[in-house]
Amino acid sequence: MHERSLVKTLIEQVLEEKRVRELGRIHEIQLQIGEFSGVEPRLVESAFAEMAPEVWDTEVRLTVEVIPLTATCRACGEAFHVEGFRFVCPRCGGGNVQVTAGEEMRLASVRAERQTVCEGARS
Amino acid sequence: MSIETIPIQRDIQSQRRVEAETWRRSLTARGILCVNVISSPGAGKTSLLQAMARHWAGQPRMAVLVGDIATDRDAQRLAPLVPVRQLTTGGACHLELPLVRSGFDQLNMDGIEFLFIENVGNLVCPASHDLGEHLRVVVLSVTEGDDKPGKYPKAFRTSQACVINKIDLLPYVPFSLNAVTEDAHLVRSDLPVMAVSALNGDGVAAWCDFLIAQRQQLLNDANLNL
Repeated sequence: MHERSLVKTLIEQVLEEKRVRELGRIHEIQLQIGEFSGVEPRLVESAFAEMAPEVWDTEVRLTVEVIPLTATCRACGEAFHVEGFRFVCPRCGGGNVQVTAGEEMRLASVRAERQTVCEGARS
Repeated sequence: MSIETIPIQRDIQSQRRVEAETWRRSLTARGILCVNVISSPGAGKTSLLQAMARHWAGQPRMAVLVGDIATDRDAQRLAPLVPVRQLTTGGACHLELPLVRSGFDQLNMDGIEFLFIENVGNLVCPASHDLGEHLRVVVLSVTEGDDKPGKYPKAFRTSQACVINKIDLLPYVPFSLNAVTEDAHLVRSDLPVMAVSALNGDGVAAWCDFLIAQRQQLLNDANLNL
């Protein structure tokens, strides 16, 4: 149950990106969560729903894209989706596999108001 | 004013990863092999560490940081044998690096070759937290059942060794060492699985030798001659 601390980091990163990129109001945060990240999307969503109003007084939507757990077989080169967390190549049966995606938790993008040059002074 | 999608592609845990990696390197430079021990509650992490401390009897030298939600009972058990600090999480179900580091700073690490971090009993969350360890070890006791690796895949996938504890109870419980090894190997094909009884000491010597070899490998890889 470490979703709250991850959401805290997520919010800090969004605020930092907003400052550095001189963005206006944030409308949406797009998050990617790997199937094997150990992070539960529904718990992230509820933690965000609780924590976001402490930071923003306008609604910020969180959308979560789940990234499938995929791997490549080091023996035969097969690229595959890891079914049922069995890290075994479906083609040759080998277990020497390299995970290629599905372990991440990533701030993918934000939808935000971008100020034009003459509006910049209002920040 | 327009609403735009701004691509960022930033790893939420990058800062933690960097901090863990930095700490791992500093331990390597001191010649310390750091082992993060995870298991469900009651699998015998503390008993295993006690058995190892008795087996080694001060050579090589080990220290322990032991995490729990409440009480210092585990630290009290280990204190007569090795330098130990209790880490109390106050409710959190896993250890995180800042708490581990604060405990480390209170330990006398002179001459210590092995640092064991006994995590909070839990097979879920500790699997997602890098504590700067060189080796993650998952302990499973035979009373828990031989079907656990597939049920807790992250704990087994992210570990570099698995210890099956309480093998003295094998005559009394329906647990197959072959079945648990097969199940663990579906999650991680190269996972070393070692059977021990912390109670009567069976297998403890082989397990300790495995750790000594792991530390030697670390020193060789780092070109350290300590």
